[in-house]
Amino acid sequence: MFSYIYDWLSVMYAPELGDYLWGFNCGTQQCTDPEHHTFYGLWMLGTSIAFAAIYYFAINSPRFNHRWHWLLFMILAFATNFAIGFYFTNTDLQSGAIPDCLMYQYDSDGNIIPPDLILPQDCLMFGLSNAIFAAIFFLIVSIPMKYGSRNCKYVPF
Amino acid sequence: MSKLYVFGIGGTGSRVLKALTMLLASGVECKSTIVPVIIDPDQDAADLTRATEFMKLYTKIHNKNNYPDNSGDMFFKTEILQAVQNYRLPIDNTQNVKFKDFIGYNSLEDSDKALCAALFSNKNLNSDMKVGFKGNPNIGSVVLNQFSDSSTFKSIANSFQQGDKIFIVSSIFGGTGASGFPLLLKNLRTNNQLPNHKLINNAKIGAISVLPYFSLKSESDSEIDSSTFVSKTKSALGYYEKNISANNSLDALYYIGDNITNALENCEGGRDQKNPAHLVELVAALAILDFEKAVLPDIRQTQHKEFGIKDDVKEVTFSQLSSETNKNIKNRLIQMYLTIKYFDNAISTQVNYQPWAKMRKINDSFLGSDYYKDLMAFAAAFKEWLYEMGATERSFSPFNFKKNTKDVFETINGITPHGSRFGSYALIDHFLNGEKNDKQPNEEQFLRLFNNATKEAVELKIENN
Repeated sequence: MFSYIYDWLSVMYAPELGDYLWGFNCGTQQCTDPEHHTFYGLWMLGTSIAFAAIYYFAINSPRFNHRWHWLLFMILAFATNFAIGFYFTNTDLQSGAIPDCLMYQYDSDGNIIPPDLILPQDCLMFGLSNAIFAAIFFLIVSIPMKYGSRNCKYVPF
Repeated sequence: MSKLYVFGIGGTGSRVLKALTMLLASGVECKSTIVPVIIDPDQDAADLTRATEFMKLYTKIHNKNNYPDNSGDMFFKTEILQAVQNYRLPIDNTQNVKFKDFIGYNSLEDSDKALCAALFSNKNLNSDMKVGFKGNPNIGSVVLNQFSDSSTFKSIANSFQQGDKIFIVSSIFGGTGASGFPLLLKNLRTNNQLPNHKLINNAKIGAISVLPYFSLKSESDSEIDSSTFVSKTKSALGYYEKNISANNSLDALYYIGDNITNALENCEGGRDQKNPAHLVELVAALAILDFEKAVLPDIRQTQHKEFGIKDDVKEVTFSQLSSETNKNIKNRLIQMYLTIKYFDNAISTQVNYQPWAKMRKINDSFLGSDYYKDLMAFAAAFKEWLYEMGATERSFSPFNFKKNTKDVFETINGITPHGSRFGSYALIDHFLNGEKNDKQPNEEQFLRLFNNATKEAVELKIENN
């Protein structure tokens, strides 16, 4: 399910990184390897729920119930998921975990044609897309949670 | 619901009624409807006009509340009924009339004039009664002897029902109170021309006699000389002993006074007679409430009661009050104080953010409503009352208005508040946010919200303190 969601913003980064996350296998030329979206999706969902729960139930303060207080927590969820998205994809990139067929283009002699197909900027952009989803989920989970909160019932609206 | 008719005689009577109004506004327990009746010829006296103004304001606010039948003590819960116009019993022929004209001195026989000269000085005879009797009970005892003919007094009697009680507040050291109290009592106990006279003659009647608790600056032009207060008190006490206590005319007689006295401006009456509020008046108001809930024996036997404090200090706080008095008023006064402080310092900002306000659409428009303006006017009067009591001697200073702290609980003298997760106003908001919206109009539930929230806050911060 997460794969389809992440696909909505896959234009932000290289398609090869998208294929890697889908579990593309160079041998079968199909997405037969374990996909990676679920890992990012669970983190994204978990941290969004955790930050919203901290805001609405743990802090739950009458002096921390302005819209910008809520926005601060959304930014925290955003930043955390940006870091997660960037860190893990970039680690895979640097460690060579991404298959060569997705990393490089070859000429007819089999030499690599620079530049690489997936660059650190793509990891940054994936981190950004992960962060955007986190912010959206934070907003979505805020709606049911706010009704259960004593002091933040009217945040963000 | 039974009624308690409270007759406030003279300036002290008005000031005690003001104190009673403040206590009732705080939600101090009183199960009867209060029917105040002020007896004071000085209709312009600032003490009287202040008391009537606050009682009217109280009633406006009270009428907006809609407390459930089973609600406990609540702000402005007790009804103060206006049985007579401006709560005042009109006294005929006292406006711009000299005492000698009132008694028809010029048409008296010479022998009667001689008797008058024995009872009244020339100053007495030429005294203008517009501003009262200026500390002369001998004048008051003549002028006030008109209750039986008063149509207003009869209409009050007409509303009297089985189970209703009567309480009389008067000072013993002045003119109006000292003379009016025995006259009024005599009428209530013996007048058989009044409607419901059987009920009234046999009603439970209590009274407080306020002994000297202030003095007046010496003024050569003034007819009032406070150096006579003690001797007049002694004479009146002797009279009361023989004519009131000895024949058990009252069910309960309370005494209050103070040996520490402030010297106030010597003002004979009128708009300038605006004595600052005093602890003694608060205690006198407590006597009314004590009488209201007292279970009295069927056979009348006058109970005599006095009030004392634990330590003879000049500045009285809750620490000097007995546990019973504190049980009656401490939490209620603190709750009222917290509510007013919240109105002063937090509400204008917090209505924009707090769920308790948003869910009820309590907003800037509500804060500009007539209801809220009335509430603010009463709050200002309440603060002034507290401030005045704190500025006199012996002072009652339960709250420190000057202490500069964010934690309003720290401004309650003699109390170390318990710690809590939220600051004081945030704590009140926290409890307000926990209050269920019962969909009543905002004016009907507004004070209930603050009553309940401050009650929880007080229980958390200062219970067992």
